[in-house]
Amino acid sequence: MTEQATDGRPTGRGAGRAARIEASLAAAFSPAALSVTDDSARHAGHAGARPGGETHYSVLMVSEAFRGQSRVARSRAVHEALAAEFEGGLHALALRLLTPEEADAAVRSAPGAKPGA
Amino acid sequence: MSDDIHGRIQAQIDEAPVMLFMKGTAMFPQCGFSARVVQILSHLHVPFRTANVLEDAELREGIKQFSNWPTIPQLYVKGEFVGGCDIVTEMFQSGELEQLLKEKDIPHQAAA
Repeated sequence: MTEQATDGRPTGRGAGRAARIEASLAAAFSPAALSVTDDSARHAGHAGARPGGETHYSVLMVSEAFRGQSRVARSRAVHEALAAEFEGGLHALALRLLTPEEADAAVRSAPGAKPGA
Repeated sequence: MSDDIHGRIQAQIDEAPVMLFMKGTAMFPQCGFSARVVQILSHLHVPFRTANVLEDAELREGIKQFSNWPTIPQLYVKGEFVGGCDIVTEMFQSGELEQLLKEKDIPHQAAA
């Protein structure tokens, strides 16, 4: 279930940081699945939003690296891999960080999930 | 200076069994992520105290260093860092948050 890096990513001004986030995470976690979404437009005008966008992101990542790690430890590892982005104006980062087993379980229990889908 | 703010944060998390560092106040959250954590705690009828980082630049930077966590909100229970909005939300949905409150002897009402 590897996702294409370019799928669903807004082109234009949001693509720079999203691409860097994706590259940093791919290098650090060898994820089985990774998706980075730029939510900045939804937060325009809020505190922390900037005129150029690139402030608010969501990451869904599935990686073996999270096995045996608490939620806080997983997030800290991601924060660390993206330290340069936080220093450079990344303001909000929603994280969903799963092991492959947890991802499978989440897919199975999702509303509307079809067996074998 | 930075020892000072860290001491102040330590005192806050020692004093309040459930302490939320957030943007805005429980009544008027200034950020959707902070609002969600307030909503979850309120839903569980957990007594909690808040500190508004938007009114205190030193706290806003200090809490990030103190917790080694780059974003706000941040929730502490009995002096222990629980996490930010995503973690609190996931723990609420899975029932782990209630479990934690129970273990830490924090009064709360079970979610319906």
